[in-house]
Amino acid sequence: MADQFPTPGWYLQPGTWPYWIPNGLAAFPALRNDASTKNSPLPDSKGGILGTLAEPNPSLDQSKLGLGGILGALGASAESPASGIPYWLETAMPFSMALEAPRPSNDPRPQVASPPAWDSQALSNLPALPSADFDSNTPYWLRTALPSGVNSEMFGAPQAPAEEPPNPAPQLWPATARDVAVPPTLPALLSSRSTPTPNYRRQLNDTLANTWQPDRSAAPAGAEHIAFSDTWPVASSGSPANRQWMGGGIGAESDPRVISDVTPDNDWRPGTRYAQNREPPGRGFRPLIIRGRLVEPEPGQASRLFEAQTRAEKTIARVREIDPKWRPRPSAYESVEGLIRAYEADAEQAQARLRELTAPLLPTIPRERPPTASGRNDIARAAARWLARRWLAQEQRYVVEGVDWFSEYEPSVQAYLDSPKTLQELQQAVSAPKPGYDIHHIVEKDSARQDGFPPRMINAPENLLRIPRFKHWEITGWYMTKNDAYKGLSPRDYLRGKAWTDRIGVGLDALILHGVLKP
Amino acid sequence: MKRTKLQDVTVDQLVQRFTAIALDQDKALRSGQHAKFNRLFDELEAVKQELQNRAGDQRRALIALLAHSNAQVRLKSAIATLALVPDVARTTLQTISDQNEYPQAAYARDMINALGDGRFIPS
Repeated sequence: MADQFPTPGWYLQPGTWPYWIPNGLAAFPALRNDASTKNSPLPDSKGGILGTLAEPNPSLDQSKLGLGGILGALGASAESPASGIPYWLETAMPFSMALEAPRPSNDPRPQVASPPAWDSQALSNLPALPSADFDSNTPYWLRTALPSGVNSEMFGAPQAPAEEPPNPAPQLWPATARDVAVPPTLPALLSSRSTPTPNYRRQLNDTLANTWQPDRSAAPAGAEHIAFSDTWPVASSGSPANRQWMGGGIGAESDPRVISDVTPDNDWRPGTRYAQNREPPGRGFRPLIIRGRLVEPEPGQASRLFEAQTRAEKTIARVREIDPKWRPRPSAYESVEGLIRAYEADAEQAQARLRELTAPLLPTIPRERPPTASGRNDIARAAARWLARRWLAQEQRYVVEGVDWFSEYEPSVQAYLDSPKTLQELQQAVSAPKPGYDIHHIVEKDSARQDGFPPRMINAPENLLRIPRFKHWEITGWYMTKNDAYKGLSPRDYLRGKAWTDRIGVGLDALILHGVLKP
Repeated sequence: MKRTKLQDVTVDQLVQRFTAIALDQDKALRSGQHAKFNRLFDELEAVKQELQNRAGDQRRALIALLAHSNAQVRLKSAIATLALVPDVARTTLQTISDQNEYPQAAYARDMINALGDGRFIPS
């Protein structure tokens, strides 16, 4: 199989990278400082910010599209989404991932299915969950309503041990010449356990382990779940580096000999041909210690362990490009096979997180103009919100090729990305109307009018601001929706009968909360 | 479709119900269906109350949702668990805010402010 792959590292060579990188926004930043990546002068080019966010156009040669603008390569490509994923990344990702990188046109690897569009059937399942009627006998929504990060095992998992073992650190360290009776210090493990960190994932994991007591009333008699054990070593959550199973040395990422053809659904079996084909490059089969026992992996196990670790590291690294704080949940194991499964679980969690971070968030602009204004607005607002996500690096906000009907929303999308401004700036801008912006009343005009405030107060210059249109709509929605911070009332209801100054206070708060006004 | 009283379902099912409602809320919020959102708000409140009434305050089962991929689910589970795991719940709110996950980012900031000035006291 290896001979079907390009040579390692080919994708890192600039000469092999086409500019368009369809669907590659999240994975690979567009090239900077390259005029050809922006506002391509092709006949189909519409310029502006809309670019390849667009739905594929069969008549458009995607390979010739340029990139530029702010929306990046958000669109569904007419090509196979996997056409350019580096082989190592592709093997570490589900086929539905929308990550792209170039691949030689003569690449013989099979094409894979397109990634789900943001409004795909698959994604629309979640919002379709019934909420008005609750039927406990319907397995469909019970399953689909489960968050991707939570499975039935989690709900049924037994209680975590009340007390941590005397040595809470994973009893796993590289075998060295030391006396195994004296556990050596493993810097990676100790640092991960002893260094205080604000990482909330870790806090959450700890909280789950220490405080969560699941309800077992629904569990079938005799049903037990794989569980944490007070005797099992539990790897600290997070980096697979914490599960060093061999002596230090280079990581798989820096080893060009590592070629993984692991599929997301792989189901390794000990002794299979696959395992026999793989050896940890350049490494012997050093023993490792699990639960205080010295365990020497069999050759096949060592190979699979190496690959599982590599795959987990790669996938987690990819997630952290987008979500630096993400950590996989800890797994329990007591054997080499268990450790392999723990790595596989980490990789699968990371893949799931990648799907969450990319596929549902990547809006696709259909080529056909949605028939209703609300449909068009929803698409434009989804694009704007996606672009406003903080993890989306500025250099990734490129695009040019657009869709005709969407061009009217360009100003609104751009305006949504404005940084907060001072009150004075917002007030002064009222005299200069601009596409994509609305005039906003700090004190809501309709409710103020209903409460008897005179128009001269409502329409006074101090009460008027020019703010991004989509922000304006969000603030209006915020006023109308029930809110825990207002004792379950909507801010609008909360303000009924209140004084003008109270309304101004809430109005300014709303602007700050929505990132329009500087605090 | 058979309707089941909240009192008759397990904690796991209540958690799933909570998730489903929050996902519906998210959809309603994004599409400007404010009346529907408000109805769902009350439904979610009922589920949360039922969990709280269970022995041992089973709102703790919502802690697992703090890692959910959907920001609305995280937001609502964080608010619901503020009394149980204040630090983690508050950090969840802060993360939604820091990540600019609109429209939930605004609600998360609102709740953080409310906690700070005493408008909202977790119970």
